[in-house]
Amino acid sequence: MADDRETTEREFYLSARRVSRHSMRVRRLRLVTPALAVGLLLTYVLSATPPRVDHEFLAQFSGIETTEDGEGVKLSRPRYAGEDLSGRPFEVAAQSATRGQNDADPLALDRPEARRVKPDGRTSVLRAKDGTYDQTAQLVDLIGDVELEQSSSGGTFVLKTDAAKADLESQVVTSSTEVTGESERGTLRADRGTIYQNEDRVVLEGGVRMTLKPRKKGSEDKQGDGDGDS
Amino acid sequence: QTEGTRVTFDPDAETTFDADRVEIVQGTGGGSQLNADGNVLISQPGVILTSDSMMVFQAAGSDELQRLVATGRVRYASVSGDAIAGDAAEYIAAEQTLTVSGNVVLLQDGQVATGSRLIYNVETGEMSLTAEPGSRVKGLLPQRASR
Repeated sequence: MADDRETTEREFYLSARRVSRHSMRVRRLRLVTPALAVGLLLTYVLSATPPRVDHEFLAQFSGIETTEDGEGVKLSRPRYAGEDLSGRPFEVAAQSATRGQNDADPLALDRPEARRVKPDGRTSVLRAKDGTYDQTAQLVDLIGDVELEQSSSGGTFVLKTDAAKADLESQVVTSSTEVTGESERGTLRADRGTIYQNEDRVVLEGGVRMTLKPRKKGSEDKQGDGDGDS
Repeated sequence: QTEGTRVTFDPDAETTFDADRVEIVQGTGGGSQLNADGNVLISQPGVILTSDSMMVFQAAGSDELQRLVATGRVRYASVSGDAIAGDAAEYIAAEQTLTVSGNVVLLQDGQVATGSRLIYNVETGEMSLTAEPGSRVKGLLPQRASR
């Protein structure tokens, strides 16, 4: 009997301790849980708000407006910068660009201009009255007053044609109409021409005629000094 | 540049260059090379050089004509009466020489001569015509009118 009473007392003592421990845990949880909830809420609020609003980024979209017929999107003074297959930077800009509803639709460009700076600092600028830019194929069809202006050691050289196609990735410009060209040293004409900008190479085909002007008198004296027999 | 009766290429005269196809390659150092194919013709007032194809090399920095290599039915003629034909020709500006090789036919002052290699100094008008070993230079001189 005595044993039974002792066991019961011990059990009663144990369960009392367990109860008080349990209630302490509950009291603690009652404090921690709300704190956790508030902490979570604060973290969400802080991360959802960007540190500062990028106004320049937003400004690029200020020129976007829907076309009159509401079918497309018109962007004023767009500028696209990219790299060709050799990793050289180029830039395509225009007075305006109009595109249909789908992202993949070609862009109709008003007075497009493509500009490249070569590693040796020489620049080449390709411009036209109108153009169509196929972003997927990276091709630009140029129509009207197409000009390629290229600076070289001999001065500036300008090639003109009425229509051409420019492959922005391979940097090859192909004219489908007569080509004429002019620089300080002379003029040229051909039925058609292809310019391989990355290779600094021009191929002219069909009735090619080049006229080289005589050297300027001044340059001859300079040459004379150079040869030491002035 | 006219020297007595001799007319030849003049760097200070306007030059016209015609061809069916022309490729212009800018050299990295600034010079350039021009490859022309099909009915190639270079002319200045009073002088003409034609061939099937031609390569023209311009010096870096001064875009002066440095060297010219013509191949295939090379014909050179000037109003002073000189005419040269051959299979190939090379003009070196620094030396002012035009070297014609292969089936060379030379016409000058009414005389005709044939050989295999001709070196023509365009500045002095001097010419040296040689033949392949084992063959000879042949010439055709006009018969002087009998007194």
